[in-house]
Amino acid sequence: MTDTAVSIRDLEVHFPLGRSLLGKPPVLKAVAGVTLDIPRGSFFGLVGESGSGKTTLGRATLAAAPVSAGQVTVTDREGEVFDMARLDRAAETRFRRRAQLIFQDPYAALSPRMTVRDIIAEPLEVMRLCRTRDEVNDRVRAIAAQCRLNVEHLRRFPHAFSGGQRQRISIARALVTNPDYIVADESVAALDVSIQADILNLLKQLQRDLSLTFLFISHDLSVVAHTCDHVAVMYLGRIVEVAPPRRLFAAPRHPYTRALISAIPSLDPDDRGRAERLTGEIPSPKSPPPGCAFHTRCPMVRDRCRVEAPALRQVADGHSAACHFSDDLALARRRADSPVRVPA
Amino acid sequence: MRIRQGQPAEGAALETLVAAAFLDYVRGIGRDWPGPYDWLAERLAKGEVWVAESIGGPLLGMAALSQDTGARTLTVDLLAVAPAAQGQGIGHALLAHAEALARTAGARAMHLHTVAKYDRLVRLYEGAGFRVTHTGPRPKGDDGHPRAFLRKRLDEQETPA
Repeated sequence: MTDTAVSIRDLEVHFPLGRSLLGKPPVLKAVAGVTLDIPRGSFFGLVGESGSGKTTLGRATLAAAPVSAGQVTVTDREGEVFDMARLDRAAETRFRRRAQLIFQDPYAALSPRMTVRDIIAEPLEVMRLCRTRDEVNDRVRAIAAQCRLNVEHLRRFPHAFSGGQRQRISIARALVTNPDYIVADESVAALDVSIQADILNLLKQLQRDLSLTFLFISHDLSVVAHTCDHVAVMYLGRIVEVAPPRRLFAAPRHPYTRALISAIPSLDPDDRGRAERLTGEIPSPKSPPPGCAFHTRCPMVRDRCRVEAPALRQVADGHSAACHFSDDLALARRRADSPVRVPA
Repeated sequence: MRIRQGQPAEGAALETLVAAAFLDYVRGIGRDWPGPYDWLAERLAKGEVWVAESIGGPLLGMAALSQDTGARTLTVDLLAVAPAAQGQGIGHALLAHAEALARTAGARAMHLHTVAKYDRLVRLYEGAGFRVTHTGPRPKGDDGHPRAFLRKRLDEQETPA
């Protein structure tokens, strides 16, 4: 049995939309029935457009979003199981050390009035994890070094730092309590391309050195391809495909994944650069379409898709897709691979 | 030799030039010419393709450039020199032209990537002032041939991350 760090079963997260005098009030289903296992020690990518529910799903695994239906459990490395729907105060206190969030925007997440040392030390002090100030300082210095921050930087204020350095400060703050599960929500989106690579390499190294489990949330499939060992693609509150990134890119089995991949800009000479454009906007999660949630934008939609929602089913080892016609995609792929003659 | 913006009518000629320039490149990573480039007509229409030509003679090379939305970086999406004209500094001239455009637009850096194992290409870009920032999988899906990502800083005063 593989060791599962985060187990999600038929999860739904609803947010109420106003009140209704008669009947049930309308709800927004940000997460609409997700089942997913995140193996311990994995760097798990979660990709989707804005509004797909990826941030809400990530927060649900940190007890920071309501569990309306289904179950989410996080198991720490000592084997304690935390059920997100039933965390009592004592369990929540233990859980907060074990699971942390790294924020998206390194420019907004750090208080401008605190020194870098105080920003990193705050979780230790709030949770009273150290007895003396010296103990706090030792821990802060150790984690800062692991995040490749200079010890002299600790006395300064965050405004003095570049985006990449600020993100290192955010990472050090998240790791200072020695957690084992980290949600990184768009943690490199605000950064320059080459600094993104730097931060991704740092996260990957920290994951190995500290044996962390990462849920890495991004709207950018090409960023996820770099780092993650599994990728789940989300659309309108549902998982549409899960696979190791190499498989996902080489042989996507959901038309939405295929469209996302083709939309990655590329003028590489080995790529035709044909972008398959999805028509229309992502539908509102307040009133998702019946049947397959993607059918309103799907280039291969058929009658069945309008009435019957496809289940996520395994199409190959470690590869699942939620499409009635995912086998057709595999066949189409094989035809497209026939060689093309080089023009004279 | 002069450098000017490519014209939409030159699409077919540029297609042939790129395919010939990259024949060894695509074969070296186990691929074949992928078929007509869908981006070429659109990029020509937007004025993002620059060509090098001998005066009164054939096209010698081309560069497709793009800027990010904040105009902070300029990406050299594709640089091609006709096989017969390679080794004569045409690639360098196109890169120098791109740099002049980038500086005029106030960009802080230029980016490009190529296949990491092609030392000749990596050295060519290093000779033009680019430095490898990292190697990683092909952005549009790992094909088992790591790409080298290079950057040339146009403002040297910023503290490194």
